[in-house]
Amino acid sequence: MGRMKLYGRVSLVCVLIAALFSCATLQEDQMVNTADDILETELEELEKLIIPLDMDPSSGNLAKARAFTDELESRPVQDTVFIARLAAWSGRLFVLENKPKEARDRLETALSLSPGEPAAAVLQSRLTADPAQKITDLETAGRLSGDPGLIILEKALVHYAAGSYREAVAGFDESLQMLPSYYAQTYGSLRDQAWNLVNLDEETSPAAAELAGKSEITWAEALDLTQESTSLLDFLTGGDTWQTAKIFPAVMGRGLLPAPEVMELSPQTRVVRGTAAWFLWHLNSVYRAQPGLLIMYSSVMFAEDASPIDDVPITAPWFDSVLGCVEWEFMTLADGKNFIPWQAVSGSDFYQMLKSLE
Amino acid sequence: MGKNTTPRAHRARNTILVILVLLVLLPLGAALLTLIGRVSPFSVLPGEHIAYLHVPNPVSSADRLIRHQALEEILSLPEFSAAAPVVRGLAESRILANPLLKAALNGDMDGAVYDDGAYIFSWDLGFASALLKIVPAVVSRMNIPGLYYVQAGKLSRFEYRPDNASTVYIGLYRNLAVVADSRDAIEAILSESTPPSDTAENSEPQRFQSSGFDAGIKVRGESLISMFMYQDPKINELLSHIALGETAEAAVTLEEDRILIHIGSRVATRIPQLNTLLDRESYVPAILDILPSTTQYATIMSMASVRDLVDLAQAVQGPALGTLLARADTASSMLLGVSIDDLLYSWTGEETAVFGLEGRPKPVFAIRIANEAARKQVFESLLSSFALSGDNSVVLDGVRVPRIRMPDFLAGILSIWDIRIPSPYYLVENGFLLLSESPENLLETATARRRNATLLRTETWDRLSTGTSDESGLSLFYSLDRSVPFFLKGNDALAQVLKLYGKGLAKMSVHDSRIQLSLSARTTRSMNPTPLGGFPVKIQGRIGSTVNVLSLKGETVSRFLYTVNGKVLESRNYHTGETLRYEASDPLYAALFSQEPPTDLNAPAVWTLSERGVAALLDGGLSPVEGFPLATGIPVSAAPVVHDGALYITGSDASLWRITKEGTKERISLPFTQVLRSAPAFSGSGRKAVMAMYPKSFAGKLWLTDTDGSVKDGWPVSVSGIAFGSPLPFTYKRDLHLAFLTQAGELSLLKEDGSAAAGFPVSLPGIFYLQPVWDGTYLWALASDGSVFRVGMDAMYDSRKLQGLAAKNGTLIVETGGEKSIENPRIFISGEGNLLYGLSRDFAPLPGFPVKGWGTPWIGDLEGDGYTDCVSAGLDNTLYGWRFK
Repeated sequence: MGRMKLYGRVSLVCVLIAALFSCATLQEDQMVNTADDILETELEELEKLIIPLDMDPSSGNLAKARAFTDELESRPVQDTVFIARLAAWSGRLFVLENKPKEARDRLETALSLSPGEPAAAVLQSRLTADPAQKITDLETAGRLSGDPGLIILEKALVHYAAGSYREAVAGFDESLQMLPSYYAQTYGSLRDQAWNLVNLDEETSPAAAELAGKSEITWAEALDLTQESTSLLDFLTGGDTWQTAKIFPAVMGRGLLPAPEVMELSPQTRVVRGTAAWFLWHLNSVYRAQPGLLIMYSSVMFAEDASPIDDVPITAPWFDSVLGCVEWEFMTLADGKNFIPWQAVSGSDFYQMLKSLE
Repeated sequence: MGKNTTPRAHRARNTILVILVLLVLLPLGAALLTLIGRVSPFSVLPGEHIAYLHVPNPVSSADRLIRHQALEEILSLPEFSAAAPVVRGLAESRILANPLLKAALNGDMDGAVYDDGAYIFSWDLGFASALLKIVPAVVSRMNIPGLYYVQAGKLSRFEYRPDNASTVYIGLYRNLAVVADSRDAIEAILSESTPPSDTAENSEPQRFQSSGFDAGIKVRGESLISMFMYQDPKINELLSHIALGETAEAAVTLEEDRILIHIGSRVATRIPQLNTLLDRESYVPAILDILPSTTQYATIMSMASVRDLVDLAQAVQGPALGTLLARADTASSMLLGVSIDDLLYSWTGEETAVFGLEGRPKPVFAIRIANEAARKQVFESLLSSFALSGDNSVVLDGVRVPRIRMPDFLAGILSIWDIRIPSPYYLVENGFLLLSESPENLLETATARRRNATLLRTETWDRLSTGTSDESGLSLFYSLDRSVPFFLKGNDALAQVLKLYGKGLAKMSVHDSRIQLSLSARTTRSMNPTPLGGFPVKIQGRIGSTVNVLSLKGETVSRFLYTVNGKVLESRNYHTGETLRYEASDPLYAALFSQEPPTDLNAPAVWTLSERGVAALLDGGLSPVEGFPLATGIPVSAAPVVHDGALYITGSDASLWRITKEGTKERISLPFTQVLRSAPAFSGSGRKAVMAMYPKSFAGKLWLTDTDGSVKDGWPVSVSGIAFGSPLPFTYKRDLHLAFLTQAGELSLLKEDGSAAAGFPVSLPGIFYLQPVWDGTYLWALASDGSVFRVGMDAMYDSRKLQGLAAKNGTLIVETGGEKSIENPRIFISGEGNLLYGLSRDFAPLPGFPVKGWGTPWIGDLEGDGYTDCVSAGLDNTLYGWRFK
């Protein structure tokens, strides 16, 4: 017992000494500063480093941004808004680094210091799984914010991910007017892609929407897209969806694609404007039961003349198809004079061509 | 000279003199006569009223109103939009600024509202009352719809009988124009059955405490209290204990950028603690000296100490708070060895405040220190307590900013007022204890006065506080982007109006048991374009890209037409929001039946055509007219067009059809065999009308025919290259011209005989998917890269590129004034996105543009008031509305 008492007293003394030292440590002066213009500029520099990571989260760029964030976080700054904003951007970086716990900690810090901070609202959205909840939260934050550009942009990104391309374009266009130019440089291509997909029907299947989102497509994908989003090939399939192995030879067999002696095509060949014109024009001819359409330009209208399109001579296999598609407005000339037949066709362009024909 | 004057000339001179004297004396005499038998407008208002209105000089007040900066935004609120045309008409006429009119019509206007809702207004027409005798004759000749003059001897009067509202009676009595909603009331005044009670002593206007206002109103006190009762239960609870005097007065003064409202009343409460406060005379709060210039909002209480506030809260909230306080007292005594009295009340003075700084989310709390020695003692005991921890280590920009952890019992007391500062930093400055969760806010506050950067020195404060005393017991300074004061949280018309003013200063002061409330609010926005009232409107479904407006003849009510999900045409009433629908089985096009507004809702108003070729003529209620819908069987190749009330449909079998309003279907014989990919463009009307067509082809030709397809002399004209759309026919110097632009940029200008105009074709550098538009002087074209071209009739052109605009799918619109001609029409452009650009004729971007919108907006003058309105569909399925000069 006596020994126990002794241990107890020693422990108490140790605790008191420790407390004394720790109190002394606590009482050391923290020489801190408010955020001045230089710090604000550095925070903007950080923002400029982090924004492009949304499109290019390479490890080198992530490390560079993290190093700069760490350096800013180590500064002796006592400024609620600065700390909140820095925490929010740091949290966003942690999300990109796949460290959700650290990101949540930063979000908590940011929200506790500055609940209306737009960067915190964006971070909160990125840590939320449900797209509908994200939109609700961002709309609430946007209403309260006097500087909602960042929040509107994030809403556009959520809409884009959810396939709501019209709302996405509206959000991109509104926010990119408000934000520095590097935002447009980062998200411009995504915005343009959203515009390309704006006319997708609400009934468009996810598979078709995915194909329409591609910058280039193969003939296998083009035929899938045709079957998924139109009834133009029903005359072949009877309304069923055929696999590539079945539909491709069937399409070739009906002359809807150039025969091997004209051009070597496989399901994996990428679609170019010339072959797309061939397909559409031949499909149109079958669809309207007017086989004469296939030779009306080369044998009738321009039999004696030069081609009206600079880069599509009368001898080109797709001469009739190109003229027909342009006159019927399934496709357009690139500049009013040239067709650029070897240019690749994007999924969204092909989708639009099919819809024009249908 | 005088000696040489002939008697004839002398007589002529005398005659002229007499005429001149008569011209001066007659009006003067008539004016003087109006001074005889005059009565004050108040004297004819009978009995006990529940509200009384006094406008000292209606013409001057109306003049100030139309010069008020927020007027446009007020008029765009649905509650006031019906008055917009009249107000804007007055503004445009500038008649109210006429000094002669102001001098002639300088009398008062008084009005009263009675228990049953009846009203009487009476306006002293001053010297202009000399003209009252001729008013019936003049007005009767003006033939104003619904206005009648009833001849009944002494009781003769005007009666205004609108279609859907009760009759308004207007009588002319001595020097007054009297308006009432009751025949008995007006006859009583005209017959003098109730003699005017006109004595200077009991004249109500004399009893207004305020002066120099534009409009004053006296109401019963309880009516005024109910105006402030909104969602906040605590404020409602407090207000329920307050009784204003039997009559409270409110006075409104308008300035160019500010509205000033004074409210005064005797006040009594059932709470003794509140009575104590209301007995105290107000003074100028000392906290005003230290509020930084960056202050965005502030609530200043300078009529109560902390003890007073706790006592008041206890009286209003009941015994539960008493228990909380007792527990806090026990805890304080145990932990700190001091009572709550010592802790809170021994050092605090009569001023407390909370304020927020620009760009800083955490507020600053300020408490006046009455006894600094006592405060120091309390803080020392707090910081020396084991129960509490303090931190004295933060040195911010060289200034030590200590921090303290708020004990739970104290936090509990603060939560009565929704204050949560668990661990605030604090500073003592200028006799105030400043507390905030953000030390930099304290530093900014502490140094503001030293830097002469206080709120009192700002132009905003200066402007807001002009005309009101700085003595106050309670002050609220606000910026609506940071805080919304409780009295603006409602949705009634007054709150809606006051929300249009970005910054405000509300004060309450007490003098001689009379409470004075003042609100000074200032416009901070000069938005151009101004959002139209009631917009934006969220649409359920995918809104189409084109917006049209349908108005009925003689009505100012407009209905917006747009498609939803491709297959539904909706008509939305601007004022009521009522939405009518017409649903087709497949995607449809819609076009107005005529540019002339229909006479009524049953008249033909809109043509629709579905992609399957089903045509329908709808009336203003979107019901099909008899004989429609009509299955035409035409394989539609392009959007149709309406000309002279008939629908023209192009078929993919190279046909053109005309559907008349009677439902007849006529095939127009075309002189070519190619398909029209766009509807013909028309010029002129009746037999002189012509159609311009471009059957799209690489061997393309332009055709000009009459409406039956007969080719005009000199046509067709060949074009090189492919193009989109139909040629643009327009009249220049009374001659018909056709403009046509190929995709490659070759712009042709052709005369009526098919010959090219001098200098044309012109090659424009760009790729074009749209035909040009004509603004009366220039042709305008839009290239796919967002370049806008202005081409003169001399073939010279100029262009500007709109950054960020791509316009393969675009729209180019020239502002038209309808029946009025516009000297310098503006150009509106939309492209591949949700932005609508606006340019002046010399390419200057319009202020505030681009605005949100897509496709083809409707641009015009909705209410004939000289303002341009724009209603556009947004890609986010929202209808946007804007108004600009």
